[in-house]
Amino acid sequence: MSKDQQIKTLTKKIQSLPTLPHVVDKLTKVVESPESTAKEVGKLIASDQVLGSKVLKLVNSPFYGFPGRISSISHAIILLGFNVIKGVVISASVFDLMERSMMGLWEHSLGCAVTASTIARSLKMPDPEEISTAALLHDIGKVLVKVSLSDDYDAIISIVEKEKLAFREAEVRVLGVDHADIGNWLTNEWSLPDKLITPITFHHLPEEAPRLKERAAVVHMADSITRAFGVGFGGDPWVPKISRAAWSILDMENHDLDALMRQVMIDLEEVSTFSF
Amino acid sequence: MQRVPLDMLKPGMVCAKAVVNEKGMTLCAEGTELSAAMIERLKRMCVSSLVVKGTPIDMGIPAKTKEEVLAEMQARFMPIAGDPLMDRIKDAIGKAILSAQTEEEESAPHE
Repeated sequence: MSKDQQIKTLTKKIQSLPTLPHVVDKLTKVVESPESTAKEVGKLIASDQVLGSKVLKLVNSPFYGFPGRISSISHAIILLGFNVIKGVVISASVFDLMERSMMGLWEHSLGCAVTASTIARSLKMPDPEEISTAALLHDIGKVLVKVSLSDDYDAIISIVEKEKLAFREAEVRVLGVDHADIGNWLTNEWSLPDKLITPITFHHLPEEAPRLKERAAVVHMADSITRAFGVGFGGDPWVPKISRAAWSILDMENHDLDALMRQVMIDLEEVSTFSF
Repeated sequence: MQRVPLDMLKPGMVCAKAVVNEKGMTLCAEGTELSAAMIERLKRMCVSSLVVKGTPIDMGIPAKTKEEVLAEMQARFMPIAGDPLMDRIKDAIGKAILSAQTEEEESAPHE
């Protein structure tokens, strides 16, 4: 069976998607309209007070580059752009779910966002905020597995524990696809922008991305390095191998690895006290 | 290094990361020892937290030694031991862990 067919079969089993606040639907429509202004979108997000305050907290985290200095959502939109804001709104919406799904998955995701930001900025890549946001959501597929395919999730966990296998390998054995494939389907359902969908989909195999390879490679490296530093939990305790292809895509041979790791550690430490 | 919410800042703590406003103006430079007046001023400028040197606030988690942190990190690389690229990354992270701990020790007299 092809991957597409596998996903189709799987999604038929899914009774309900994790519910997103009403605001997210409206947000998609408003953002698509070229006439909408930052002020309007800001007002829409702020109309859900709980969500609004979480969004404000997230955009003020150090990895977006304006720690503690963004005072309104419309200001955040001007500074970070609609793509980032949409990703942040989704992250803030699924935060509770993520925390309940897998202990440590939120910390892992946040750590990944930090590491991705540090890598992207040190490589002087454009739009580090978008890359960070993709990293924040890279494991969103795991949440869907836990919430909507809970029997399969239990089977995966038991394989990880019994056979000391990586979570992803166990997923492929049980589901035929992994959380990146599921994340791809889910983020398309949620109409996230391609700049977020592609790095999420290809965070294990950045070299296979049809475009935005560099961004996928950053998220791929950030995932591995965040686990190496022991920040959060992604389903198993191991560091996944960084692909040689990702290493060359980012021309890492010509960068000071020691300095980069020192910076990542400082930045991870800084965000370790983050809470909503 | 530790990020401390503004209401938990105490005079004598040392700023470890400069605070810059949106216009790029430095509000508090790295290495500045905080005074009560300065904390008051940061509050008025709506700064919500500050990174300070050392770990002046006890978070209730016992600190691990650098050897423990290092050993735990290395253990996570076990299934891919011997991969040349991953070994280099492991070594770079190991060096980072060791160097950061030394910095903490240096800033100890400030606490």
